[in-house]
Amino acid sequence: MPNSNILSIRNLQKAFGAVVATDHVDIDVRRTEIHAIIGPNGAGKSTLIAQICGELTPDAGNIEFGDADITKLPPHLRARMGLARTFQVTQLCAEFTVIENLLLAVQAQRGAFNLLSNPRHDSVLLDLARYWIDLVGLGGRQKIAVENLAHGERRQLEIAMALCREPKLLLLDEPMAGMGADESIRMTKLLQRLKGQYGILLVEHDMDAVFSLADRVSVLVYGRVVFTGSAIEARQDPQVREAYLGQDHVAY
Amino acid sequence: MSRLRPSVLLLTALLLLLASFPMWQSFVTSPATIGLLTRIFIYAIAAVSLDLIMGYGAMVSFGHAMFFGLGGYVVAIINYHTFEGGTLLGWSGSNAAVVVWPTAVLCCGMLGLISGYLALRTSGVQFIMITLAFAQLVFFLLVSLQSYGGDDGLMMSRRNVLPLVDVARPETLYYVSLAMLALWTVLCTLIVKSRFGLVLQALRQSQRRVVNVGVAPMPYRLTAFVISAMGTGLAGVLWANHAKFVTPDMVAWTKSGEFIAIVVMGGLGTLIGPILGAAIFICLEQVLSIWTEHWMIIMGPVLVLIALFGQRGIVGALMRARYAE
Repeated sequence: MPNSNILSIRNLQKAFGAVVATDHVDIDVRRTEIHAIIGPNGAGKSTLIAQICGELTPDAGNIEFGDADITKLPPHLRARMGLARTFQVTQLCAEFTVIENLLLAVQAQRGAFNLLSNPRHDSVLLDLARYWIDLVGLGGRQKIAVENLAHGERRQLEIAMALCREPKLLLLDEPMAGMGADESIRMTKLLQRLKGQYGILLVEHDMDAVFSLADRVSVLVYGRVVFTGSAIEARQDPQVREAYLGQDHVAY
Repeated sequence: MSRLRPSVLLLTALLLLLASFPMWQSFVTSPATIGLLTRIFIYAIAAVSLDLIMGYGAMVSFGHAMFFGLGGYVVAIINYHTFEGGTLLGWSGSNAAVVVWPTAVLCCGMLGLISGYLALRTSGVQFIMITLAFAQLVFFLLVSLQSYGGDDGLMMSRRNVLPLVDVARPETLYYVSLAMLALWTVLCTLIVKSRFGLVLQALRQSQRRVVNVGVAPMPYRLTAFVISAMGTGLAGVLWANHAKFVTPDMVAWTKSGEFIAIVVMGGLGTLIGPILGAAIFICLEQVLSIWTEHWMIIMGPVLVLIALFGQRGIVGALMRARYAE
């Protein structure tokens, strides 16, 4: 059932005082599609992501993941069910090396509560960790402490940490943010390779990346989804242009 | 691993040196030095325990003296009932260390579980305050226990008995404390390097990351807290046997402060550092208090300087010097 939904958001609402950050949002992500969410700053993209992964509780509405209602589930249990994410500002263990970060992620579902065995000497864990490090193109950087990694490399590492848990859905929160042109293209290529293997919800500002990757695009403005459709339709939709792309992007 | 080997060598050399100490001590020093070193070992056990949560888990407990005191008091109270006070809840008591010591350590584990569970619902300054509040609670409880000496504390008529060795001799207690310190440090090192330790240190660096790989923080932090409480309790047990005397001062907030100072001075998150910190702290205390009773006037600024300039304390400074070469 590649076309069934892995994530269904229904009528989601969240307000902070008088500010409505999520306003009756409905979004679906299919099992093998890249679904991009775009929208101007302050449109509520981060709030939406936080509710999907469980860091914020919605005021109303439902979030279904696979067949389960996860609206009230704490974030670590959502993660265990196969919801993996990357962060807008990378969240890594800066003092750890690349491989230690990966070990942290791969040991999570293989009995992390073990007070004596050293994961750095565990060949099963090490092999797994190395596989994913190589896959995202960080081979040879294993023993480097994360604080010494370049910005783009940290993003790659976050993707590896998400992928190694064999998720059903990837939440990518602005994976191109702060990247140079080269890094951005490399990341786009990496995501291109992942396309079709996972459901991916992509929040991104880089329009080139969005239009080259996304199967479908939803446009979020003031907490509301004003448009959902294919990437091509999105480019042509006058409402989208006006609301989001603005005058600078008329060339699209 | 290259990081591990020099420290293992250093530790082994130190162990051998200290183990042979009673043989050459008669040439060099007085028996009082044995007492001094025993005190250092005992404080070091507490400091290593505190470093496990403070250095690796970023949990700054300002109430760890409660475990030190409770460990000591459990030993002294059982001792009191065994030799003087009659039965304790129907139990005639015991003086065997194999019974009394684990009991005391388990009591500390229980207190650690309760106080840790409540304190860990917060973090940062609130965490510090709640641990302090628990310690004050225990302090005033002990002060109010008139049957166990109240303010004046409780004497132990004799030390607990260990099989095969005679702890009544100071040298034996010296060895027992040294062995406990070595074992405890090795165990804590294993824990720090384990899968559990990886999560504990990851939580210090990015809790969001840990949660998002599917791990709940509380069980890890709480377990570390309980282990730390039990280690500090063990130090209290040894202290009671060393001094044959326990007082509510063992739980005073200044004692908790001393433990933190020792860990920071020696080097947060190094395990070996706090041992060095304990040695320096107690030697400084000894030397300065001969010179003046206001020895804290000197100790205070020393601590401030180390906190300001030595990011990882003395051990950290040594490591930087080595890397700089």
